[in-house]
Amino acid sequence: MVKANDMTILPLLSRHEAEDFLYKESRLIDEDQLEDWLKLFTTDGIYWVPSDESSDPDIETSIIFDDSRQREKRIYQLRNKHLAQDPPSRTIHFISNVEVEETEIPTEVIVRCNALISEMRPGDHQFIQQGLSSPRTFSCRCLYRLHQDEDEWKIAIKQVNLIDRDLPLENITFIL
Amino acid sequence: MNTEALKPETLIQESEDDFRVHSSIYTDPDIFNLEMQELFESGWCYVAHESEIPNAGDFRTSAVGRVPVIVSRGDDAKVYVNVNACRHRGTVVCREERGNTRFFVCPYHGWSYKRDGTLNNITDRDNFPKDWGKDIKGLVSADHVTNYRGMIFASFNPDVKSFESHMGPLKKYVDFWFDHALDGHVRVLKPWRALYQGNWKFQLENSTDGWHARYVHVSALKTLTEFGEYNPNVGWPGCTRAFAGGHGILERPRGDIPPELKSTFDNFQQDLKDKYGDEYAEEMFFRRHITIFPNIQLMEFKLRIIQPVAVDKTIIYEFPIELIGTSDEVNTAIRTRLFKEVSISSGSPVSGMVNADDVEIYARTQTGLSSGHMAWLRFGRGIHREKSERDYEWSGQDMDELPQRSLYREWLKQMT
Repeated sequence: MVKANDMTILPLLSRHEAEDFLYKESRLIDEDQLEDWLKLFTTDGIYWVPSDESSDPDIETSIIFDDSRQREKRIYQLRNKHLAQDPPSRTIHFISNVEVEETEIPTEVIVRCNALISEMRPGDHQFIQQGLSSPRTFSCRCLYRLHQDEDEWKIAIKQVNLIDRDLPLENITFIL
Repeated sequence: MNTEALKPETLIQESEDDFRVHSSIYTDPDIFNLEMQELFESGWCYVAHESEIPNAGDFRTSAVGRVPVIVSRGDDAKVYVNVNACRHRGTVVCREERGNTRFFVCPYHGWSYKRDGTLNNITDRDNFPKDWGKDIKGLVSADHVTNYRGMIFASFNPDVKSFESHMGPLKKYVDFWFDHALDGHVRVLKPWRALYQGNWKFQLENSTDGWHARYVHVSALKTLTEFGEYNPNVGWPGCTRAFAGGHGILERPRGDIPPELKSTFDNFQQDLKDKYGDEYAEEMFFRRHITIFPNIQLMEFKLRIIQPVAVDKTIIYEFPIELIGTSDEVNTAIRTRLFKEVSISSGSPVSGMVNADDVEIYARTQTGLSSGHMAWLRFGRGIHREKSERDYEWSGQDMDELPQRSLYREWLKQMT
């Protein structure tokens, strides 16, 4: 017989399910379905790329600190000749080291993972244009707070800690 | 280096109705080396803001051109600027960006220096002749250090002209900028840091360039308009200003305050009127991009530092500011504008909707010039209508290339 408190051992979200969620998010970004990527977030969801993960993003600078309105503006600009994304970046996300952790809130889990993002802006077949046709790699330690909304999991916080977050960086106008 | 062969005096050509800058000043490593010596080391170079090192022992590492320096606060509360290299064998003494320390200790053979950079101890003294090393007083220090309203400038030129004469009539506008703080002082917050593959002068030129925004920032303006945060009917009012010493200003009225911040900014201006009187408060309350030659730009509520790395590589630091003595409501509104990129003048150069497009242009221009076959860049807009305002100050229309001509006139003067 299963004791009542043993039920809590069953995670709200299995690692397998968390991986499926992260793979789907990666696919939406890598395949340029950014309008669908926006729908993965809760209405008050945050996309945060800190330069110092111990800082308070409301009163200190971040590389990116987007609420839903900022995310919508970001995607709108990407669709309207944002020079820094003309030509736009191609990305390939590799996700690994996935761990799921329960929280004090029954409908929320923390998902940790590592991400390796290969990025390149195509368009220069002569290899002379600065910033084009030159693949870059972004190494990230990511932390997601996922919120269960009826049957669907949504992103309450996506935090991306870049390995070089406190150094001078170049062009991160694509979605990490 | 053979400066004879460089002939910087041939690289800027000005006539009655034309102004040309030779592309080699953006691409030639020898020119770059000479710039670092003549403009950065021999002039007045911004190295830090006093609010970054408020207490004795606080330090930050910085640079004068490519000379790595430690800017530190001594036990006497004074600010010191020293070369970040041990007097023994030249090893970098301090690698941290900022911190607090009692001593700077070289990791190689343990020589140590006090907070002000003077020598504390040479290890193993017994193994040297009696008076050996008496000439070593401490780290190599800057010849001159000055503080203007919290901005710390250093020079490695014993005969540098006074900071006051370097500033000239620009002082009035720099004071306007700092007087936005009711206590007259600002605190700099943690910076955004960005790198671009282009010459440092592209950023120097750009911040007072009122012309490019309607082209480079089309997508940002379209986005802000779409989201009700920019009113395209505001148009492009304002003017440019130029000063002896290479300084320049792009000045526009604050017509782009988003509706939700309007009442906060009205209260803000009222506070300034109460403190300074109506006339001064009206004149100061503009959005001014102020370039202080050669490496600092006072922007809309942020301080931008241009740090050359190589002829085609540049770091930008952007420090948002907090106005000391000003209400929390105003400071919060300013932060909101900066961090949420409501303002068209804001946003990080790495990922922001405005400045990221500027640095894209710098890299693109560096590529365009690298062949050497595009010999002359042309800065002619408005050259026929430069207006003298007073001694050492000129004005032009808001999109005129007056500030750019001004900085290259000074460039020519200091490089030859």
